Amino acid sequence: MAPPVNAPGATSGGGPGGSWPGAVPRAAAPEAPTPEARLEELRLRPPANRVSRSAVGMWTLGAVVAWLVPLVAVCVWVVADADHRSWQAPIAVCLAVAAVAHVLVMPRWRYRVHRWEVTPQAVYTQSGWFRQDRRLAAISRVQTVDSKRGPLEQMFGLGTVTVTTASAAGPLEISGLRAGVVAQLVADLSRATARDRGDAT
Amino acid sequence: MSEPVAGIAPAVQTAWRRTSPRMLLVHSIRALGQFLPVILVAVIFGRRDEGDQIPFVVASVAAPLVLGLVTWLTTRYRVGADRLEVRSGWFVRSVKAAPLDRLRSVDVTATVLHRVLGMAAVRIGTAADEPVEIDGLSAADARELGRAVLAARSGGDVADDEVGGAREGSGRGVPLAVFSPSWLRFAPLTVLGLVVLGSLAGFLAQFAWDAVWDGLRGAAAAVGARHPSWALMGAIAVLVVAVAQAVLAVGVYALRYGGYRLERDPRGDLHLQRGLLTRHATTWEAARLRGVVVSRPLLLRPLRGAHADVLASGGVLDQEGAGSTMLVPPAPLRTVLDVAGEVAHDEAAVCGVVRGHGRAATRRRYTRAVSWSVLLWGAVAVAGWQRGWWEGMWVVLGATAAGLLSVPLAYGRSRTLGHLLTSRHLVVSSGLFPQQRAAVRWSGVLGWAWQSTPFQRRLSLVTLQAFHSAPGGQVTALDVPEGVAVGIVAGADLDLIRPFLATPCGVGAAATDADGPPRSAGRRTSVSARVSAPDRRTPSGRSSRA
Repeated sequence: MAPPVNAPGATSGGGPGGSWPGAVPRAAAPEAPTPEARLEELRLRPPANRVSRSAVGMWTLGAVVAWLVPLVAVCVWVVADADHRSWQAPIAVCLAVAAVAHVLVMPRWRYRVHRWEVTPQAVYTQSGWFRQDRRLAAISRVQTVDSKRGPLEQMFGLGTVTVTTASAAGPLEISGLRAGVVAQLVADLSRATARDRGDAT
Repeated sequence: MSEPVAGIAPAVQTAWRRTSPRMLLVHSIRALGQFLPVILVAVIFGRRDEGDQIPFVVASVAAPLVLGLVTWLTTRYRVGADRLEVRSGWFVRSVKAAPLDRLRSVDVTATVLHRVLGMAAVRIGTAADEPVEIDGLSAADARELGRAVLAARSGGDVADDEVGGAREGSGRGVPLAVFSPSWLRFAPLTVLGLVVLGSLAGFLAQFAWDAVWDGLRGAAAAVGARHPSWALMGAIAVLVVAVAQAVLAVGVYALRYGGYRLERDPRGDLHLQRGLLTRHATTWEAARLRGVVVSRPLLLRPLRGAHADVLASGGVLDQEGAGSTMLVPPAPLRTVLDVAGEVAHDEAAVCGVVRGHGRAATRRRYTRAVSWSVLLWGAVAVAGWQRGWWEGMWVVLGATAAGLLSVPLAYGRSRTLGHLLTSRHLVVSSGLFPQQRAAVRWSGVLGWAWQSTPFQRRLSLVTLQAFHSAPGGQVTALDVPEGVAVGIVAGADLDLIRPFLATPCGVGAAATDADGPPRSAGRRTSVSARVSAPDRRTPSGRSSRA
């Protein structure tokens, strides 16, 4: 019979099931040895809350503004430069099609994907549209809670909450929230993180 | 670094201390050294109008001296009961106060000048802000500062032989690794020589291009070719470069890593020293260690070499870039694995068999490589169609060669991809240039991310990221099957993820299933019947099936 998959791990750790249900509270837990993950059909459910519906309008407007620059550049090129007509037609058409598709599809897709959930123990977010990103962080690891309202967001009465940990790479962002929810969330998270004093690294 | 000073009542006012006045000598010698090439050029080439530049040269030498004097007069530091304060500057006065429990690592550097004059520069890393730097301490003061910082943080007196940094090989701890001259054989296979050659090449291109050209012609004539072709000159040039970079690399390696010594003291802190001329000494506190990364660059593989870095939060960023996270320089693989396993307290994390990510992930390595080749070929085809094929023959051949080369590269990448969950670490293995094996402690993971593109979602794969507070910020596992990715986090931190799992019955079954072997995602087969199980890989790249 073949040896268990990670024999070295099993011999150096403690018994299986060492610190599972009924685990020691995280703040006090030393590195309790636990076994291999049980690789069942585990799946994550999406977070419970959606962002505000008016975020769709905000993202649409943002995309339109962003596409204006290349579209105007191409128009100027078409008007000013008559030498490359054979290139200009396909490029202009491709650009226009891409712009329309992006502006129509992205905001709605993004609205379906963006979700968030904050419990007393963790922050769980899902964001993106083409490339989707689920992030999970424990409240005890949160270092700062920031909120930000750019010009577009102020127009639509929305805001963004950014939760950072001590890692250079891992902020959790929730964008498209209503301003009131942003303020509430920042207050709640600041209170929750103040409870867990410590290094958070 | 501007912590609010009010509110932290200074308990005992220790005296402000000064840096050493011998630092002024260092400044003056350095300033002269900077202008030595200009002076030499003026003398050698004897340009008359250089005479006009003498006041300029004098002023440029005097300015750093004056600055150094002002710096020395205005810089003071002291270690209080709970913080380290450094005051400096005259025009712009700055006071840096760092709470002692935020200090992460101590790095003591002594260049040749410093050592001749008995001095050192200390750089103390903090959690989030810039490091605190104090240059020009006498060696005794540097030791004293390190001792005071460590003592204040550990809340007690530190025996003198446990001081971090400047002490040389006093046997205060268990030596984990010591430099051996046989390590020099790895030097020509690193980029050390090429880096030096690169900087020399700039100089050569400016001043000595003709000499280089004549030299190449002469070498070609020596071989016997009267009118050497480009290919011959190119081959000679490549040969010369290879030999030169090998020699330079050996020299740089010896200077940079000679005298390398890694020790662990009884409290678990790591002390590293290296360098023949410029002596570096770094201390990492045990509680700040988050893991290790073992890298096997492609060039070192024939000689079975590797190097290792440490993942430590709040590392001190060296000017050289690579200095402060390096744990073991390019060295024999066995040594590196032993040291990394010792540092991580986890042999299995460093040497254990890594489990692959399945067939879908393997296929993706190939499709990604091939799709890039197809794109390249498409661009070449369009260009060729426009311009005529014969002109672009070399380009076409080049694109074809690149396309063919991508297949073995994809094969290599698919074989090195894998992960492992041990009792303390999450280990991720990936890559080819270099092949890396990163082990991060579960307790050091600050957050998790599961990322996916539509192509990955179609295959039920995600890219799992574990965020940590060491430089780099994250450990990434590519193309992990979705269930496995969630299972990894569940294995590392079940309480965190349990409320967000979609299948609570899976968790319940796992909790009661105390002793069964781990199962692959979605298939309830036992480990022994691994008919269609993912490959497993040993660190040396050989695959083994149970």
